[in-house]
Amino acid sequence: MRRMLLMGVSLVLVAAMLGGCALTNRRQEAVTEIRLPEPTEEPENMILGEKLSAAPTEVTLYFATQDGTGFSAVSRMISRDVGQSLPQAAVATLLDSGAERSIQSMADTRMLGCEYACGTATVNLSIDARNVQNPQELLALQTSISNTLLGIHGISGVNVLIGNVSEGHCQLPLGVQTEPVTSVAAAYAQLQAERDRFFQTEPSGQADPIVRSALLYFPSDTGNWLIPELRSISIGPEGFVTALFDALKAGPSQLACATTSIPEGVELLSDNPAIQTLSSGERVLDLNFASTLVTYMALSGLEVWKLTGSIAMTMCSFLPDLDAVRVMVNGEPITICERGDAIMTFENGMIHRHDFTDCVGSTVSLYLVNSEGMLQPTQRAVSMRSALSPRSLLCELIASAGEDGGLRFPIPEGIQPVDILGVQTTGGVARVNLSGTFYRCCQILNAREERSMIYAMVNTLCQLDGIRGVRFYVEGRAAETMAGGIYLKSVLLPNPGIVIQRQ
Amino acid sequence: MATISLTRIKAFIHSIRWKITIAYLLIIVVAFCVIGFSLIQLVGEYLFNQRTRDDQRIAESLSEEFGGLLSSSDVLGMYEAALQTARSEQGRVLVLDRLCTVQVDTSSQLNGQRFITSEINNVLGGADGDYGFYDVGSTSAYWLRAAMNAFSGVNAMTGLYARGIRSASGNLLGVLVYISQVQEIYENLRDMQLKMLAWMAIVALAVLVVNALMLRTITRPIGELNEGIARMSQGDLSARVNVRGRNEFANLAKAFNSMSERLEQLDKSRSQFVSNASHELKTPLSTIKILIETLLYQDPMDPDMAKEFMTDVNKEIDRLNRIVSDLLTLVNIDSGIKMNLENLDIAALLQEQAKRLAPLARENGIELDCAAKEAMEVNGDALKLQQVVYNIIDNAIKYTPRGGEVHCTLTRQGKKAVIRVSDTGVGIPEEDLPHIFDRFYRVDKARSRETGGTGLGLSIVKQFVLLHGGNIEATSKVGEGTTFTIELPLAAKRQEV
Repeated sequence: MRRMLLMGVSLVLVAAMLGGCALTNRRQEAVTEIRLPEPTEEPENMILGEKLSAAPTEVTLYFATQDGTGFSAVSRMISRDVGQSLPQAAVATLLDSGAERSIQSMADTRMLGCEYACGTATVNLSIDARNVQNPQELLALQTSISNTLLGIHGISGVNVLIGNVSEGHCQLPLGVQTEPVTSVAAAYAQLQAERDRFFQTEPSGQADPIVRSALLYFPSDTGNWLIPELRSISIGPEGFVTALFDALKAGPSQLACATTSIPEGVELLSDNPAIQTLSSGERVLDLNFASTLVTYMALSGLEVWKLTGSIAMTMCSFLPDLDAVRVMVNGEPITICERGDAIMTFENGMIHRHDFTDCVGSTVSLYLVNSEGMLQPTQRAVSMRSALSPRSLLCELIASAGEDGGLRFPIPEGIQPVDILGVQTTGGVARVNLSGTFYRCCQILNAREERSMIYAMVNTLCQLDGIRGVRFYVEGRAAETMAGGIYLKSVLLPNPGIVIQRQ
Repeated sequence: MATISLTRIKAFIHSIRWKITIAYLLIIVVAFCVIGFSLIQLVGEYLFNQRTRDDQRIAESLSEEFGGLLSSSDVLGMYEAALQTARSEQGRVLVLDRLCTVQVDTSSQLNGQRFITSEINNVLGGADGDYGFYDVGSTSAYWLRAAMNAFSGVNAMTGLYARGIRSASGNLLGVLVYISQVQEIYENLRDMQLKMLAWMAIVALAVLVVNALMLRTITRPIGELNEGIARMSQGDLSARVNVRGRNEFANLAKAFNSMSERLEQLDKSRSQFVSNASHELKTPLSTIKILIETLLYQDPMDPDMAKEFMTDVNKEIDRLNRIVSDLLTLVNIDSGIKMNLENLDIAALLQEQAKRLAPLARENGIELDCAAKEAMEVNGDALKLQQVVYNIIDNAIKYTPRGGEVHCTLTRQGKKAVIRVSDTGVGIPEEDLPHIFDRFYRVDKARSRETGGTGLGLSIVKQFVLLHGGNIEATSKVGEGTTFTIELPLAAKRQEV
């Protein structure tokens, strides 16, 4: 019996060895046994302030040919300085290089300013641009600039002004260029055809409407900024002024951080305001409102500067050869208004575009965190300069730390904007130098909060041109982690997977 | 009660039925284990290899696509492509930089964290790609290499393929990790294993039932045989077992029945023999006792009468002596008597015995002749063959009335010497013929005793003939006479001549 039992046990053991070895759970080496690669040691890099060592960006420059009918495209590597936008640098390079290879007016013209906001660029040229032999040559100058800027990533519209005045063609506004022009001659011929259709009354009494892109300037809901919004407008027999006024009155359609500049219920006393030329030669648009405007503005809380600035910027940026706007209430022009602590005065009520060019702001998307730890882009109005500054964006994020409404930047208390010691952008990487205070305060974060905080900064910075990744330092030294989860010695790329879009 | 149960259990454990059952079970278990698990191993390897190839194809395609995207840090492009693949293939894609920091995760869980496995380590070490299986822990925070054939304890079996992402110039930019869920394959294999075990249990149960029935059929004859033997050992020689079928057990049962039948007959004949012997011995003893008592208690006794009584007593003692002598002879035969074999002339032996009995025949008025002219040699015991021939002729003389004839002949029939002794006596009834060689069997008991027979003579004759390898038989007709035929094998030497 014992022998039989022994034999049975042996057989079972053999079976277990042959097939039953499958029963064993062969757990092998653990992750901890594998050595992670370590980066090479870096010297201390105490970044302070903001430095831009952006690699030169390749931009295609469109030079109008000598006969003014076409373009020659030349690729250039363009470098820019801190605070200088790429469109600004591109136009400056275009104009500087114009003497060699383009029309004479391009060589003589200077750039007075370039407003780069909300994906649009408004270039203000010097009066020299008008020294052209024919209108087509002027169009060639304008479209060479717009073609160049439309080739830059992120720019969807270009408005070219001369002396802060919109230059019309064929009695029609050129508007904002949204598509590149391949042939100046063809474009000019199309303008002439549009003029003929628009001004030639049809037998039915209806003129063909024309469609133009225009920049409508709306006041921001926070801060003292006028934010441009690119809008396509159909202009019919009611005229350019009425079409623009109605569009302004309708309020912003895409901007989440702007409000309407004309209160509901406000009407113009004149149905079709006309542009008149003063004895000084200035062309002025009078917009006469009823006295109820004051009441409506008081009810809506709209400030006067927002109303006047929005109207002047919008009208002067679009209507051909318009120098100024007079906003009147019952025939009395507004000659003074307050913008924050500053007082703005307008001689004889003449409100020029240049009175408000400093008020032009832009929008940025701050990636704030919702209650589930997901990032949600939130539009904010900031100055055009801040919109291009990584450090300013981080400061904006820190300023959003205590916000309610479900979205916030999840940093512990005690962190101030000054804890962003500096940001250096080199080779597409923003190197953010954080203070020791920032680091210490973040030790209490849990894994989810740490991830949300880090990627809120990374995603926000990476929306800027020329920034593809972010590297964090603490007091100039490479830190392993902030709170134990995210590895900070790597360049972190944005995380699109935790971003949810606004409903 | 407990003792009985324990005894029964012990008996069952020691029974052949239990041992055969255990052997069957062991064979089934071993066969199922080896075949079943080998089969599962093969199927598992095939399925997992198939999945590995699929994952490798996906990972290679993505890694080639991501070369340019990672070098330009186009994370959105990588994420969308990875997400599309992950959704269509039900997998997960990670893109790691050279420091093993996750830059793209289609599940958006590991971004920014470092992730390393031996496969990734191999790719960073220069391998093009590597594959492994892992069990994702419930927290998803740790990953352990898992056996693809692990039977239990696997939370989420996962296949992981790591592939290097290289730039156009061939520099390693990072690692693409494609993770696919193989838990379904694992679950299927586990189901197969469970089904295999279930089938093994069912088959084992079926085999147990069939085995029980078969063993019952097989061991029943053994039990019955055992029971029969037990009855026999207790003295019941009438015990028989049922004979079923034609197998070995049936043959064994037949042999047992034959043996028990023979034993029973032997026992009966022994009883009969003892009874007969007692009776035969008691008769002269009773006679002697009566005669002695008469001599003792009848006074005065006539001397002639007394002498006659003493003569009778002497006769009875002689008779007793013969009976005892015959019994001893039979006992010797039964217990294996020693034979003094030699080649002897049977014709001479026959003539010698006939000559020896010739005076008796003349005294009884009987003509005795012997026709044995041809000399024949048989290999036998001379004394015993003399006794055979003497007894047969003596019987013929005794049971043939005066004026009758007794003829003795010796002839050769093939390889046998045939002795025939025929008489013209009273003959033997047909119903007595089969029993005339039985011990103490008498056809005419009164006459037999008168003639001084013991009832053992023919029985001894037959035993002696059989001991010589011969045969004896008798034919008779009442009133006409009896013929005894004795066949003895001729000696070998004689046969050659």
